[in-house]
Amino acid sequence: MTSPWSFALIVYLFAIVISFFVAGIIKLMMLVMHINKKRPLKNMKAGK
Amino acid sequence: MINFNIMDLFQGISTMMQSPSNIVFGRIGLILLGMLLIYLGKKEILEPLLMIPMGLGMIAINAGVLFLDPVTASAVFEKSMAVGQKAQGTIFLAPLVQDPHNLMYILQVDFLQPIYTFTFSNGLIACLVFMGIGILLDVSYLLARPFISMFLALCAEFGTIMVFPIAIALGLHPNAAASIAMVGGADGPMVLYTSLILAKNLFVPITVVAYLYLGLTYGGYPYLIKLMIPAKLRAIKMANTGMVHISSGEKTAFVVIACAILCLLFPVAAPLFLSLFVGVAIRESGLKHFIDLIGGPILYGATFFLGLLLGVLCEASTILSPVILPLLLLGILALILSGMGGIWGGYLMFFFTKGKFNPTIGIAAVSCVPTTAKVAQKSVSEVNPDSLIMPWALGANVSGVITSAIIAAIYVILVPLMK
Repeated sequence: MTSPWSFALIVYLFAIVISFFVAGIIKLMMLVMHINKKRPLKNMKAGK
Repeated sequence: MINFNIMDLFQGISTMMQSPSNIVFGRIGLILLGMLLIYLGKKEILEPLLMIPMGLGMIAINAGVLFLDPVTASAVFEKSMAVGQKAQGTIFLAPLVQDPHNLMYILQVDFLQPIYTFTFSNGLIACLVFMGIGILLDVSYLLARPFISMFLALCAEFGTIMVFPIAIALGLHPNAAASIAMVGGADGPMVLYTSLILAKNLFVPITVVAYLYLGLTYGGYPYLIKLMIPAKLRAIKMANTGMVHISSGEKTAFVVIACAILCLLFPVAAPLFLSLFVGVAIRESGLKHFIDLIGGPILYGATFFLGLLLGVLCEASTILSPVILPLLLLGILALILSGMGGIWGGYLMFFFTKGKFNPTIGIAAVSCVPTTAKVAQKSVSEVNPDSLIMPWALGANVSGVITSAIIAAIYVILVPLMK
């Protein structure tokens, strides 16, 4: 039988992995959206 | 000539005289507790929106016990009553009725039974409150600093994790242990949802304990902050005020992606995720009529009936079970440990940033939106009125809601598999 303490640790590890996965997705999404935002600005600076 | 006992006229008193002493003391104690809740709500020491209907419900249900007629009694207790047998009960609601025929009968007798059956016992009311919370949430603070916010939120789930094995050591069934541990997440709808799925027989005392304690976060956490963080550290001014412009398009994109991923990972908590994110999506889409509807009548209607039903569920014979004392202890322990975990997370950030991070922000990661963020800002403002930590605190606060939902989903899936 899984001891309650190791079970709690497993739950916490799962929560850490999934929460940071969500945070990573957010970071990636923000990076992509900011790249798209900056592109017209760069083009303007380049006089295009 | 009518032959009757004068006490039959005053059945509230008569039932008290004929009850066992523990029920009598329980009823009197709960009536007094209801009065105290109304007083504390009126003084705004506890959340008045919940405490005033809850306190009055508690008073009415424990005062208004009567002798049920045999037909109603057999439906409420789901067994046939002997002729002349007197059964005590109320005409508010019967939370333990399972049989559909009895339930149909009770729905026509008890005035709060329709609301309980169709909104409370299936978790709809928790989802409605979550939609309202979604309308209030500004996710831009989370989007600006996702890793720091999530880190703090995970630290502030310390109580949610630690109380589970402690509860089992105290003799609770794993399902009940996970439900009471969720109090550490400080999210009422989440506790309601988890206990409805995992521990239906105990969800009344667990939810009541959870909401009572959530009311205490506003009064209790400032003392925890003062105890654990010296004034010098509380006064730290964040170098960057944390104001970052995030467009509504970015926020909507986050809602779509996060909702899809989390529902895909945890279908069991999908109703909660949908409810939260639909609120945020409506807010960010600027759908004024929906914002007014969900942020007004739905949120306040659900909160009112939640408070009233929680009060009415506090009937002495329902709530006075042998597990109530461990639940009371474990609930407060979960909240204290989560608060401490959040502050420890704040201290870790303080050391990582070489003293530039205000550790008080950590407690805002306990996901009682937006109470803990307000408590954190208030504690900081007392020692340094120029220090603005609210944007950071709200980021951690919103992350706390997401991590609580993730842990609730993990408990709901894994605990039944525990052997």
